[in-house]
Amino acid sequence: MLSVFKHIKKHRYVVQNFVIRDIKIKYRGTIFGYLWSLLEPLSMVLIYDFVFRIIMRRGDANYPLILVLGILPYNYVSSIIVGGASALVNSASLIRRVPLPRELFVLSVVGSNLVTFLLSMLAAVPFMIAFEIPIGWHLLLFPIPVVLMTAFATGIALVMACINVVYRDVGYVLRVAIRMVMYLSPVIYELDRVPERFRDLYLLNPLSVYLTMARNWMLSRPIDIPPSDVAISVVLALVFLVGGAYTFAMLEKKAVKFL
Amino acid sequence: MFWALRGVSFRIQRGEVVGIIGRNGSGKSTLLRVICGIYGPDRGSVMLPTGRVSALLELGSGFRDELSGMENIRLACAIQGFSSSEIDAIIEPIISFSGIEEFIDQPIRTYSSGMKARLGFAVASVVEPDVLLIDEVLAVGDAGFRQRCMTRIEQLVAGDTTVVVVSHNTAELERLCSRLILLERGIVIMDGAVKDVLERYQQITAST
Repeated sequence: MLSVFKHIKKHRYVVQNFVIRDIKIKYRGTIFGYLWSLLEPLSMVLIYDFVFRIIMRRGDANYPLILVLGILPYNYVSSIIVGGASALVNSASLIRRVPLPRELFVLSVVGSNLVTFLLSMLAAVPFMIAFEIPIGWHLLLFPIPVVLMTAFATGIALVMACINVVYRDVGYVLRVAIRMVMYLSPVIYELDRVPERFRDLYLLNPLSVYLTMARNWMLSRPIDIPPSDVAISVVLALVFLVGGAYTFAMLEKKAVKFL
Repeated sequence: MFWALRGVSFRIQRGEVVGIIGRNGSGKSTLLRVICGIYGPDRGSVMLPTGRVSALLELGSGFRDELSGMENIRLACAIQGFSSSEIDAIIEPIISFSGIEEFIDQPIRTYSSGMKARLGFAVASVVEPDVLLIDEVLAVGDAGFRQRCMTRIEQLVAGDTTVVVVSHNTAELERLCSRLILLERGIVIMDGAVKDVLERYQQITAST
């Protein structure tokens, strides 16, 4: 397929080592280690639950469950974009020293975030037990939104990684954008809370669809989204991935000289 | 626009050991990076034989300080193209070549710069590249270790490896190389026998 992905197979041991290294470094020197992957989202769940359910008196009794199934996938998407955007900058010394295809650095960030995300999904288990969510066949569909989110976020990360080498503003822009998009996507609320007149606008954002898929299918509920919007969001994931890879291939040769 | 290299053109025979010499900022390291493919040339092209090209550039700077010596070796081997099972087979000789068995499980932020260089060259020592590019890596490390590195490079040369070495150490270049290329402001100003080029180089450095 694309040159950006053809190197993965040849360099799979490098990617594997980068992923292991990233995960090891993430927890090195901590007492709680992997538990931080659970504690971090759980603390956010606690805060949002307190603010919206207790103080604002909104949300149903199962609001913590809605939160955890929104925050974990959104964190996954945002950490691919933020981490991927700084992948080239952070590995500058290695990139200048060894002739490795540069996309490996971004794709390794995707890989280590995928591992962390899947492990952090364990945080949802106690909530699902507490709220007596039935285990249904919908669970089997969960990999679909994961793949879509990964493709979408990887495409953005590939482009941002190159731009970030020249303009370090990218980091700041992303930090603001990620907070804004979080409130404008169904992360801390469900899509059916969004007033009808904004619904079409919401569905333009493919994340709305992916996040709803992830949450509803974990809850063994169907998604209440028109098939045409689902189709568009699937196509968009592909467009972002292919477009990102294509842009990366064009920019990286120039970008590397700025490292 | 600044050109780090201009009109540089040369041919290296298989098995030849060529040194690149020049003042700071003359384009030596950039040239090595272009040869091994880190930078694509803006004009012109680089033709390499098929086979393993191994680069030792700024040794030790690519290691991750948080990881142990052992973990860094595995990472470096993977970068050189070894699979996990191949690494298991070669990791012992690498550790013993480095001579830092005792500290191999310590994070390398506790290592001295010489120890990092040892680790880096030890990884390269097990690779059998067709083309080996070396940039100033022998400048660190103590005399005993440098000697072992030289011996290793001489072994590789005897076994048909092509070597391009960047160095400021004229004694080292005299010992290793059969030919020198002198760079000045990105231009090849001389390409020939070691003795003649070194003479010219000394004139240039003396004049400033």
